[in-house]
Amino acid sequence: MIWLPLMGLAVGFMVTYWIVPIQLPSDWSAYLSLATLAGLDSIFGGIRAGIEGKFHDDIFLSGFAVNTILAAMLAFLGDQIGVDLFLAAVVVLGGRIFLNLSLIRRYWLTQTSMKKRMSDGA
Amino acid sequence: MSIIPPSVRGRSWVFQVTALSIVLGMLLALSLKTQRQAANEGVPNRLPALRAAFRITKQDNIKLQKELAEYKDRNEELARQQANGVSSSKSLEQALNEAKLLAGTVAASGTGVIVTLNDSPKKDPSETRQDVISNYVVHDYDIRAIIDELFASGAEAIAINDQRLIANSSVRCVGPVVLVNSVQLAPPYVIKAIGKADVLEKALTLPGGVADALFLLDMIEVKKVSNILVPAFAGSTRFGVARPVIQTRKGH
Repeated sequence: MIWLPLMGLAVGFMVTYWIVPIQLPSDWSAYLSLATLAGLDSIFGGIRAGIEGKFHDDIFLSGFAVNTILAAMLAFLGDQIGVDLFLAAVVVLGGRIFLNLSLIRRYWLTQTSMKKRMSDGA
Repeated sequence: MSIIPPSVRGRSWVFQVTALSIVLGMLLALSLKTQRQAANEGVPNRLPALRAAFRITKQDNIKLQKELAEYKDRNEELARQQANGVSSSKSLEQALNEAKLLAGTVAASGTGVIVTLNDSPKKDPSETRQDVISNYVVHDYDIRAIIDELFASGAEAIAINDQRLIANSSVRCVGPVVLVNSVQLAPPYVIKAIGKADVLEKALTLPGGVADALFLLDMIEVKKVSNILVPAFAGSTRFGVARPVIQTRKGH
């Protein structure tokens, strides 16, 4: 099941990169990167919630939409008032991504080891 | 069992995550495209770009400083070479001036004596015997004796009636006049000699010296002067026969 989101990622990437001729102003590049980071955070958060069985589709969808836009907006605002909120967003989102990843990894490990033990016992 | 619920209900979250993963992939692609575009346009991309620019500038700075040091060294070397060149040309000029002084082709000044030779006032006007009258007259050999004595006493430049004595000068008698450097001179003969004034004067006033008889007849007057100007030799210095021989060192 883990390959499904990965494939979606690849499909979305390839379609946008090679097929859709969309191009944004280069001034937006920093905000776009931040939005991507926020989206990554939301995806990993969703996977973790799904594994934990606490997945709520409304939280997930709104989180993804709001976080990406908010991160970009925050960075833009920081640029306007001369404060590097970009860095704050990067630190927070990066930290959360790593945390979620480590939790996912741990769940996955325990799950596989349990399965192995169960199959051995049976 | 407590950490992971036994039945991950529905698995519907996987499809939702997949759907948003597609969106995220698009976002990622868009971000990458924009980033590439920015890099191509040369728009500084915040920190990484600034860091790269800073690093490049720093390296350039180091390189330029190195270059500056090299140029400074080169400059110093050139200055030293120039100074050497100046000093060598200075010494060359000095050598040339000394050679000119020795040759008499340049005017000279310095301390010395002025010797004035004139026909004797003690001559009896009624005297008609030529050999007797001759004793009261300045002769070429009187002048020669005096300039020889002056040169022997360390005179460095001598002129007779402003005719500078040079290496091939001659002092000879032609009838009533004296020829110096092929120029006719008439009394009074004024001999200007540059050298140590005391020494030159003593040499001429030496008892039993070359000028003894002249003093007796009041034909000579020696005057010490603190600054005399001896003019340069004004005649031709063309050499028709003599050629300089460049001597090469033996054994080298």
